[in-house]
Amino acid sequence: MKSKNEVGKLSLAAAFKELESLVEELEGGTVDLEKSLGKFRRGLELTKWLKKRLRKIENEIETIKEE
Amino acid sequence: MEKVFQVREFNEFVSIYLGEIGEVVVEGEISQLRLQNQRWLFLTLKDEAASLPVFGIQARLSNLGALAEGMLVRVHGRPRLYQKTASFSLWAEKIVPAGAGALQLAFERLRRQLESEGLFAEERKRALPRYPRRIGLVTAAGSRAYSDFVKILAERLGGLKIYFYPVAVQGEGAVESILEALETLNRHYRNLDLLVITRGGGSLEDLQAFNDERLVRAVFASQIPVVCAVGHEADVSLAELAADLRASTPSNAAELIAPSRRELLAEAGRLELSLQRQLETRLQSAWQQWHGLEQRLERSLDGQLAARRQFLQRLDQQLKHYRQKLLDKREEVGERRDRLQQAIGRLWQNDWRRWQRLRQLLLAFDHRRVLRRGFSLTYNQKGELLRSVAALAKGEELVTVLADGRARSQVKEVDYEEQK
Repeated sequence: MKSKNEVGKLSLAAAFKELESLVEELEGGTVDLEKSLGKFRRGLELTKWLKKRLRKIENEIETIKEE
Repeated sequence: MEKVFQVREFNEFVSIYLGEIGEVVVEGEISQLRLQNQRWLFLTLKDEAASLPVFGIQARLSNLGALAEGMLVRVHGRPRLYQKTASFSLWAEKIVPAGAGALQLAFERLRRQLESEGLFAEERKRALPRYPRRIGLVTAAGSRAYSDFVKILAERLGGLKIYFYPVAVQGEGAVESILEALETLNRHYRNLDLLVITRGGGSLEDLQAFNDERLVRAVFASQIPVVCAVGHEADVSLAELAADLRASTPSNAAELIAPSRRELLAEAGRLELSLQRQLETRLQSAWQQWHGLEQRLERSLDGQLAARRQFLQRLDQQLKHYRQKLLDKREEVGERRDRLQQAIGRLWQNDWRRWQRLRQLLLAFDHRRVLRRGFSLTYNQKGELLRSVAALAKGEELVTVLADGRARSQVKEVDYEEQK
């Protein structure tokens, strides 16, 4: 896919949204095997990245100080 | 000597004298409540026997919305004299409901008013993003609320950014401190996905800041969606009612704003499984299609082979048929040949005898035998065999054939002997 859609740069929301729409499209059943292969590859990339992203356990905390 | 005051001097004198009294608390019923120019408050406080004008600056008073004519209140303030007209009044610094259940009554009254203005309306509440990334946290530093929220949030989901704005959540200055947080975050941190304003449980008095009208209005006006969680068992605070989402405790707020990684992992797993199933289904269908073609191909080949085989069988039968015919013919030919040979043999025997006889005869007439015995043959120039000299002329050339060769000669003389 295009570099701007590089999986690693997607937000959690965007990755889930894209993955959901991919699955929906494929479940629609109109895409043939050859065309759907790219979509499968993308979908698996997304799930892989999501799993990796979800294993993050740290949250960053920044304290706002008023002058 | 009698002291004579100028009017201005007298008013000033009384004013200074009144100032000596300091802060007082006066209880009475509100009558003639008037809010002017969003800035001033005028009301008359009275009981059965007397009345007292009260003046206040709106910005310095809280919960004005809770006030109503006929309400029993305690006004904290100082007596003042407006020197220009010598108007006496009590300058209010705090007005709180008085009497049994007064606080509750005031709360109810403010709640009804804000409700009628639409501050708690469900339809104006904004949906929070399902996957927040930047979260503003407004609570007391080092509080249980802070640590609970941060801990539970990390248990839910990682990779988030929390912007923590420490505030006082109760006591003097609490409302102002939270208002300042809301203003700063809305002005300088607009890209936050949501704000969480929270504190742990406490007495009704402790939670008063969250029922403050200014704070409730600020929560309502926030550009950034607000989640409010004030841990208490009694009534829901007004700030919570005005928030886009209400949570029961700081931990509950963390649970409500962030999906749990367990759920998300399950969701990702479910989507992955669905993808795999779709892929399998497509592969299966492609395989079936291929298999179908293969079978058709096989059937078609089988059909062709059968046709060829039939053709060969027919050919074979025809060949056998012709072969038989040939065999039959050969037999017939053989028979005929035998008969022919017999016939020829018979003919041959007859002819041989005749030939032998003829040969004897021919040998007897062979001129060469005659020549060997001394005879010769003579031909004229035309090659005619000479049987008579009658036609010969002198000088004519003749050819004489003897048994072993021929000779040419010339006629010198012709003597004709007449036959007697």
